[in-house]
This record gives sequence, C-alpha cells and structure tokens, in this order.
Amino acid sequence: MDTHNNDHDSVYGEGSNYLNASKGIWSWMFTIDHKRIGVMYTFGTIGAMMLGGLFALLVRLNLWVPDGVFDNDTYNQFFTLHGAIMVFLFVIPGIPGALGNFVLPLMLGAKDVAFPKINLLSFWLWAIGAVFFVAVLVTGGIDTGWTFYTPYSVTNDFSMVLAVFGAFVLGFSSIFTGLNFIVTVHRMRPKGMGWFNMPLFVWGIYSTAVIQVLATPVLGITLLMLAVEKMAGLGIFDPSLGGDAVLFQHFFWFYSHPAVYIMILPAMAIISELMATFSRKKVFGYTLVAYSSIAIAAFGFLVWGHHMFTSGQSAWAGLVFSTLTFSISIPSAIKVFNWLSTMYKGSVRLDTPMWYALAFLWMFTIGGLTGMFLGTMGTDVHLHDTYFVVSHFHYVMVGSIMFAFFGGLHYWWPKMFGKMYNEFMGKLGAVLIFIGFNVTFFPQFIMGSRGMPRRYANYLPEFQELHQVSTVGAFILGIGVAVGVWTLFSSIFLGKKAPDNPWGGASMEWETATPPIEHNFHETPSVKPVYDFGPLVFNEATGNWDRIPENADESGANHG
Amino acid sequence: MNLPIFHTLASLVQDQKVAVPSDPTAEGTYWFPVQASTLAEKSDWTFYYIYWVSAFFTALIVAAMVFMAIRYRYRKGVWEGEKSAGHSWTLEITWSIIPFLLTIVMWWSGFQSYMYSDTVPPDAYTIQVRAQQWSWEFEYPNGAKTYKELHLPVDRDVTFVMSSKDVIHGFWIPAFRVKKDVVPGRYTKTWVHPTMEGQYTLFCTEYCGTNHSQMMVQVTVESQESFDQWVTDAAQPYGDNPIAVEVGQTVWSNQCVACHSIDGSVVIGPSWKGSWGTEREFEGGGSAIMDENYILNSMSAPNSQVVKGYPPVMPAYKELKQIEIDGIIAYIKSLGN
Repeated sequence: MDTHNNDHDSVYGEGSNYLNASKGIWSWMFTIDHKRIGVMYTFGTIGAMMLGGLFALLVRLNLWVPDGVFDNDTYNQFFTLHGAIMVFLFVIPGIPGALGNFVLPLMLGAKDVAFPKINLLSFWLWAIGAVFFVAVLVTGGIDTGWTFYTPYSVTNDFSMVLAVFGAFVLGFSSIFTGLNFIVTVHRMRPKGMGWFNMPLFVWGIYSTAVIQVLATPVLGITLLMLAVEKMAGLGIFDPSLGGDAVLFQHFFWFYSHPAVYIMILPAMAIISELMATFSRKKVFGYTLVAYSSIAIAAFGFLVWGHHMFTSGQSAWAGLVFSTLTFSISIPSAIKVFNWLSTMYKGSVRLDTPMWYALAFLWMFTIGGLTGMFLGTMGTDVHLHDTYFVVSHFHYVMVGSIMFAFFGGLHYWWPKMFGKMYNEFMGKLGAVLIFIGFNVTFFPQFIMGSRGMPRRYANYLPEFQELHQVSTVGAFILGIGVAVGVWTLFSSIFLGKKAPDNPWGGASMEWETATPPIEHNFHETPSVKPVYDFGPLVFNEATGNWDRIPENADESGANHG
Repeated sequence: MNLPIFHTLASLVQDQKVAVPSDPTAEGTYWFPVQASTLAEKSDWTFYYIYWVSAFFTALIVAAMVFMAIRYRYRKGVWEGEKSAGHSWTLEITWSIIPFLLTIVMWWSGFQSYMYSDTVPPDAYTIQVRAQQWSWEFEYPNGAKTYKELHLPVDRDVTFVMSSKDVIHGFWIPAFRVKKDVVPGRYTKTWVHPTMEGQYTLFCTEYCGTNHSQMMVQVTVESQESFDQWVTDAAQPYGDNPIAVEVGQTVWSNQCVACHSIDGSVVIGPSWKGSWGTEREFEGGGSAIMDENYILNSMSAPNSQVVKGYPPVMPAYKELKQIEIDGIIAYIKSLGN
C-alpha cells in the first residue's frame, strides 16, 4: 500500500490526503485514522470473502455428483470452514468495519471515531481471530458446522478449541467496534444535527452497534463454556457429562439471531443511501425507516427460538417465538416499500451502485418472504434443516448483504481511493453476480422442499439435476465476484481521477476532498437538512456535482 | 381453523392442493414429494398460502421497481423530486397493516398444523426410535427390532418415541412432512397418520458427523394385514434354529457396519478382518488378546479399552441378547486371524 502511494504521489493532485499523509508499513499498522482502518478492513474482509468463497466452490464441486467428489470428512470440513469464515470474518465485520469505519465519521463531519485507539484494537483483534481460523485449517480442520452444535462439537479434536477461541476474539472486535460507533454517534454529531437529521446510514450503523454491544457477550460466554466443557470435561451441554444439549442452541441463537441483524442492518443502511442519492430524493418515510431499524434491533433479541421449532422445545414457547418473528417482518416490509417509493418522482440514475441496490431489493424481497415459510411453525417443521433454509439465508446473507456491501464499495470507492472504476466492468460484475447468485440458490428452494437435507456430503440421485444447476451458478457467481473485485482494485492503478462528489450525494462525506485529507475536513461543514439534493447541480465539465452556495434565507425544511 | 375466512382462502388456493394420488408410485409436485400423511395436507395448505402471498408481493415490488426506474429515469433538467411528498401516513399505515393481516393467517394456520403434529393421539401404535452415529433402530411393541427399514401400517396413528445414544440427530420423512430432532439425554415424540401405501425415505436432518448423509432408511407403508405379518416375522429375525455365525452377520450388517468393516479397511473403528486372537494395544497403555471376554467388554463398556489410534466414540450395546453376543463372537472368529 505505502510503496505505491510513494510512486503515485502526483496522481493525488497537489494536496496531501490520508493515503499519502504518512508513509511506511508502520504508518498503516499503527494508524489510528478511521479511514486507514476502514481501508485495512476492506482489504481484510474481501480477502476473507474470497477464502470463504473458495470453500463454497469446493462444496458445490463436491455436490456435482450424488456420491460426492471428496470423502465425507473433507466435505464436512469444507462447509464448516465456508460458513465459519464467511460469518465471522466477512459478513459480521464487513460493512461496519470497512464502510462504517470509513464513512461514519465523515458523515458526521467529525475528525475520527470517539476512540481511535480502540478502533485500531478492533482491527487487530479481527486479524488475530483470522489467524486462529487459519490455524484451524493448518491443524486439521473442524467439521462441526459453523454453529458448533453440542454434543457433536465436543467430540471434535483440539482444532475445535482453536476455532472457538478465534470466534471469541472476533466477538471482542465486534463489541469494541459497536461501542465506538455508539459513542461516536451520541457525542460527535455536529452542532445542529439532531437525531432525525442524520443520514440513514448512521441510523443503521447505530442500531447495529447496539446489538453488537448487547448480544456479542453472550456468544463469548457460550463459547467459553464450550471450551471449558471440551478441555476440563465439565458437563454443561453434553448429556453424557450431565449437561443439556439443547441449552447450547438457546445460548447460541440468543447471539446468532441478533447477529443476523448485525449483518443486515448495515446492509439496509447502505441501501437507504444508494436509493436516496441515485433517485435524487430523500428516502420516503425517513422517520419510519429510522424507527424500523431500531424496532428490528429490539425485536431481533426475542426471536431466537424460531431456529428450534423441531428441537423439542415446548409448542407454547414456539408460538411466542413465531409471533415475535412475524412482528419483525413488518418493519422489514416497511423498509422495502419505502425504498421503492423513494424512486417515485425521483431522478433515477442507473450507475453501478444503483444496480446493486435494485438487485438488493429483489434479493431481500425473496430472502425476506421465504423467511415467512420458516417463521411459520407448521411449514418450518418440513423445511427446517433442508436446502430451503440454506437458500433462504443465502438470499439474506449473500443476496442482500454482499450486494449491499458491493453496492456500498462501488459507491464510496472513489471517495476512498480517489479513482473512478470502469463503469462497464462494474456493471458486468453486478450482472454476473446477480445471475450467478440466482442460478445457484433458486434451485435450492425447490430441492429443499422436495426433500433434500442440508449438510449432506452425498445425496439421492433424484436431486442431481438441481444440484448441478446450482453448481454451475456458483461458478458464475465466483467469476462475477472476481470481475467485481478486479474492477475495484485495478481502478487504484488504472482509474481516472475521481471528482469530490461523483454521484451527487448530499451527506457530508461528499463535501470534503477526494480522497479526504488526514483530518477529514479543512473546516467542519455546516449542517444541512438531511437528503436535500436541491442545491446539488451536475457540472458536465468536471463530472462533479457542485453545491450551490446556500442563500441567506435557507428554507429550513426537513427538520423532522 | 373454523373461521369462514379460512374456507374462503382455502378455496382460493384449491388449485394448488394436490389430490391424494391413488397410485403409490405417484410423483410429487413441483414443490413437494407426495402427500402421504394427514399432516402433509394441513401443512401444505399453509405453504401454498404463503407462497401465493409471496409471489404476489415479489411481482408487485419488481414491477414497481422496473416501472419507476424507467418512468423516473434521469433526464437533464427534469426533476420532480422537489415537489413530491417526503412521506405519507396513509400509504405507510396501509402497507404496514396489509402485510400484518396477511401474516396473521400464516402464523395461525401454521400454529394449527404444528399443534396437530405435536399432539400425540393417546391410542396410537408406538414405535421406539433410537438414533446413533450413523444408524437407526426401530423397536416395535412386539419386540421386533429393525435397522435398515421402517414399516408402518396405513391409515393408523403411529407415534415415535425417540432417543439418541450419542449426538443430536433429526428424524424427517418428507412425504409425511414430519420432523423432530432426536436428542441425547431426553425423549422427543412425534406422530404420523400415513394415508397412502408406498415407499418413502427417512433422513437424518441434524448434522451428526462423518456419515450424516448416509443415515437414510427406507419407509414402507402397507396395509394393516401385511404389516402384521411383517412385524411378526421381524420379531424372529434368526428363525427357529439360529446358527451363531449367521446371527452375528445379521447383527453386524444392522448395527456394526457403519463403523467396522470386514475387509480390512478402516471406517471409524478397527476392521474385524483377521482380528481374532491378535493382541490389541490400547490408548493410554495396556493390551489384551482379542478373545470372547474382550469382545464382550467392547460391547458393554467400549471406551474402557480403546484400540490405539482410534477415537473413543463407540456407544455401549448393553441391550444385545445373549444369542447376538455369541453370534458376533462367532462371526469375528469366522473372519480369520
């Protein structure tokens, strides 16, 4: 990173920016600049995504034939590592770590997050967690599934303890990031920016942070108990030691269901920004969208039992969990309708980030609606632990979250690196990922409902056709991701210089230089009504959206 | 489910309800295997209700998205955004209430069919199900035990009382839409009322390790008459004059084959081939000759003497009959040394 900045100093124009403000590897390793930490997270989480994706392709390859290509143990390790790496190293830390870090302080007109050093610690804890996961690979792998269900996980060898410890450390990374963002949003908003004058990205990251701080400790405690049981033979979850096997599932989902919202809320936050900017309109029903983030965060804590309708928990407990699960579907539906309505009478530009945003709407609609089959007790009994569930959560985790992550990356990339990527290649990547994804996962709904259980290394021949379609899709998806990542990274070297505000965004990060200076702003910009696109005018000559200086009698609309 | 609204809705999705085929070899539908139990009819109704609601909203959302992306596309100098409303309570309340009402139907009908499958009828025919890595055991009221097949009488309530010897397993018969986890340290129960004779598959659906994907068993639903005949025969698996080696081979193929080979290959535990009379070295020191007492001990307390290099994962087989223990010893002997 540092060396190429040296070589290309001139490209960044006359001024110094955060990328070239200091040089040398240590200036990155020990940086407390939220932007540099964001960049390191970006590279790190994309790396983790590629590694997790490699395992996904191996999983799909194995399922090309009913008897499998690899032996059962190898396959079981592949899907475990795929899930664990994707969830713990990419999906949970991805958007908050990479884009949250980079964008949040800029959006608030702040110089940094509230605790820059803790922010650096978060990143390094993430890196240490990643090292543990790699260590698991080297020491022989684990085959527990990313869920570590007891008592099976207790029978795994020592690698399991490494993986559990890795997830434990990653939990702290997540807690510290959440803590940092909560304090940042509370204490570092500029004078005049009320709660309902914040961009919805800030609302989304804030709601996420609340869950990170409240739910993640439960994961930490659970994993510690698991490690103690494994190492000291203390009976907590293993019935042969006097424990309760289902107790682990309660603890695990008490974290891991809220974690789904740790993953999806930042994705929704990005979509709100993209829909507004590329429709050139304030998000329709802003207040309700903001409240729905909070509602989702709050209800998210109370629905964990819907993962356990067949576990033997009482039917009445199941009824309560089913009820609460449906109550969370309403705020999600509200968001989708509000995003759609944002386009109404807007000025819709279909640049690459908007392609990802519109694809997100399709993905999230399918991912969300298929969730209702699983939140409904009667239908969940048949669909639980089948490919229907696998497909459903991939529509949410990949279809929605990865699309939002890519949309956000394409949106803020020019701001991060000062370069425009190739628009055609960007769209090509989006289209390939969209096609590949749907070809991979739509057949999985059908095979799941027809009777294909998940986590099967071999399967009945009647499912082969659907599995093969799915595998072909996975490789298209893989190529699409490679195109997308290549488009972004190559732009650092090949791209044209980006203007300060290439998309006409109205929030504060577009008011500073591209890339931003080390301290973000020369002077703190004045607070304007949120999503007020009126003063932004496209300048054909520079490709920039210039802001018309404010009049003395500012309209003052949109305070609430 | 007696509210008129449900009848109306039921008639709306009537096209999707699959008439129970009389032909046992009938194929399933696009989404489902055949409906072979009373539960299947109930739970599929809910499925198709959610399905059509979902299809409608997906179409609506995509149509609105495409329409607006074209109708309100960026044109130089044209921008209506300033004039359009920032929000509308009428709209926002409407699209909160409508999904709410639609989901209430899902939630309630799903709860109904769940309660149906969860409420075990009192006078049902009871089969004990025992799962272990990676095989099933079914014990019928007359003492018959089967391992590779499950037989059920048609048109009769059958309850499964399930337990696991090791880790969590899952009991799933897609044609019946019935699923319940099989948990160590407690009993779980479920029941079905098969409505159609035929052959179906039982899967393990809770991931349980290496051969999870091979924990499949064929389920045969037959008339009460032929079921009675079958279950009587099954109670006498070794005939009137059992031959020890044959008994041993049967027990092996039912209960031991998942872990112990007879051709020298290593599956999970040591192969039986040529093991008789050899010296076995144990994990943590010590050794013993593979004789009658060693084999007996390996079945009643397997993890007290684990052969070096193998994991201590074998469950105890305390319920084996004397004739079966003798049979296994004879069978291992017959595999040479």
